[in-house]
Amino acid sequence: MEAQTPSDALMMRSKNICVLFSYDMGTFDRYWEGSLLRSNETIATVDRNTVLPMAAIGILDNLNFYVSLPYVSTDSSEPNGGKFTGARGFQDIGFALKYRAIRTNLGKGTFTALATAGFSTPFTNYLSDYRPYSIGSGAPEFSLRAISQYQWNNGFYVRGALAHLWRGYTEAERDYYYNNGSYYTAWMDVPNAWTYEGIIGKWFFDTSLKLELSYMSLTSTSGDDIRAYNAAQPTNKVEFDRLGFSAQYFIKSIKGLGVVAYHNRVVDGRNTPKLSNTGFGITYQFNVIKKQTDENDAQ
Amino acid sequence: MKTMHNKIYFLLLALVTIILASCEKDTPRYLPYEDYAYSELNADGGDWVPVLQESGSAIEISAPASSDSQEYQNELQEVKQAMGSMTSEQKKAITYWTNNPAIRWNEVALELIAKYNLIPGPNADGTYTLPNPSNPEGPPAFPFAHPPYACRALAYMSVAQFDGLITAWHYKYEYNRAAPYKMDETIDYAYQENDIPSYPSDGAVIARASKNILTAMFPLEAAYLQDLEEEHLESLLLSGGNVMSDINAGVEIGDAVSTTALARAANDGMKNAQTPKAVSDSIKQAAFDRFGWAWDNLEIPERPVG
Repeated sequence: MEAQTPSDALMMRSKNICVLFSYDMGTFDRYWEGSLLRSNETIATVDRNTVLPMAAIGILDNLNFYVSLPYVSTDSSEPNGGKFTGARGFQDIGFALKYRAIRTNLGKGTFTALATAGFSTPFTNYLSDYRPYSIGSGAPEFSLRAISQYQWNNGFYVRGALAHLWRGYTEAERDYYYNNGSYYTAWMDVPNAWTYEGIIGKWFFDTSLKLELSYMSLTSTSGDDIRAYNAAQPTNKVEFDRLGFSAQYFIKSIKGLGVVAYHNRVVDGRNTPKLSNTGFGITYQFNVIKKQTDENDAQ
Repeated sequence: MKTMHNKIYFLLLALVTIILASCEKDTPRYLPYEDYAYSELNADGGDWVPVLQESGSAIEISAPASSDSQEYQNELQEVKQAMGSMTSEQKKAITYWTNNPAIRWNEVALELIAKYNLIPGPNADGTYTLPNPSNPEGPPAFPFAHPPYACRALAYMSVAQFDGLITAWHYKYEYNRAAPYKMDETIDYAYQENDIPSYPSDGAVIARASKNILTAMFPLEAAYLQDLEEEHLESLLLSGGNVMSDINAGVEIGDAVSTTALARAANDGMKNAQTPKAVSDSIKQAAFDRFGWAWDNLEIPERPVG
């Protein structure tokens, strides 16, 4: 999740490919019902594990393409009062194009501005109206993200990103639902959302270790609240603030190989689990044309 | 490099346009039916046997002013004036309520049933509080509209509508006062025209009877239901189908039939159908004594159930 991703400021040179394979362990035992933080013995503690293969492809030095396909599995701890079975399966296949529009020396560092356009859509016919076990929102999503970063020559950097997510509709397995009123259809409108990210980080040891602290916020532009002691549904107005820490290390002795580890915590929210997640991954970058692999084009 | 930039911008723009334009879906909030013509007219509907009333004539409705009277002419004038200055909201309301509003009120009932079909959650100490009609705010809110409660609410509403319509039909053909659009050619009826006399208004019977029953069944929705009733009653006048005295007579019938229905509901035993822990435990013990086993509730914390 923290290698070259659609949301960071790293670019790969043309004809380079980076593959990422990561394992993410998420868990929560409380969630926000509207703005009320509560526990619920019906679901007890819910685990949500994700295996994420992703590939980043350098088309041009300033244009990268990404493809990803997470496999998600969810389950409740025992004992729980609901006896619901978890869910598992391939979630949404995602594609993204990241374009670096500006990279210029400015003062004692480098200023970079990038834009990413992403599209994802369910890869399998999973049940989206099965919260909190559903593996995804079940709706196509189109996103536009603007990213800017300033990195000092000593390796310290700050980055900000703003994205808008347009979500489509997901089909529930019922032909009527309540969303502050009646809906006589199986189609649920998944709310659009804004995300804001702020990151501070630093490179160490000749750009072989990168440490980052991140803040991310998501705000849905519409939607309803989870009702008392009731299950969430895809129409909910989800909001959260999340803090995170990540480390990425490029192993000098094996060219192109890197490892990544991170931990994130949702600290405030609405209609969303108070999720903590920890992940580990390996990245491998290679040049498909030249024999010799390029150094990671970090700044 | 310049042309490459242009291609990228074009690609992005095309992607955005395609995705945003392709996926608007219709998510209807109510059933999309419009007014329609009935296949036949039963002028003897007033002789049908009501469920809770003695007969179609059990509720007394006084004779209306004659259509020649100044009083009635003033009412016609009032209809024409109101119709002449309708807002687009009012026109939408006429289309929405249609000439078969019983279906709309059933949709309203369904919406409230869905809204209140929430099983009460446990308290912090592991006990459960039963929904209480004398403290509807709760928590938990009253009612828990589980299927038996929902069926009962729909039954009382339908019985009140049915009895009220029989009463309305009885007086329609006793007094035979034609609808405003029959009396005055300049009035255009919003729905399919028919020969049903308009005093008392059948629509007003449905509006008031349904509102009264649903307000009793879902006390926290009183203001919402009041708004719906007002919109419905107004649409009856603005449709050109009723003058105000038609509507007032229908409202009178609606009040009478819902009073009878709610008096029955107050003593139908529903209030005994809830199981506080003591009752639940005694039922469980009785089952165990008789059969040697009893059902266990597997919720956490364990819920007292019947």
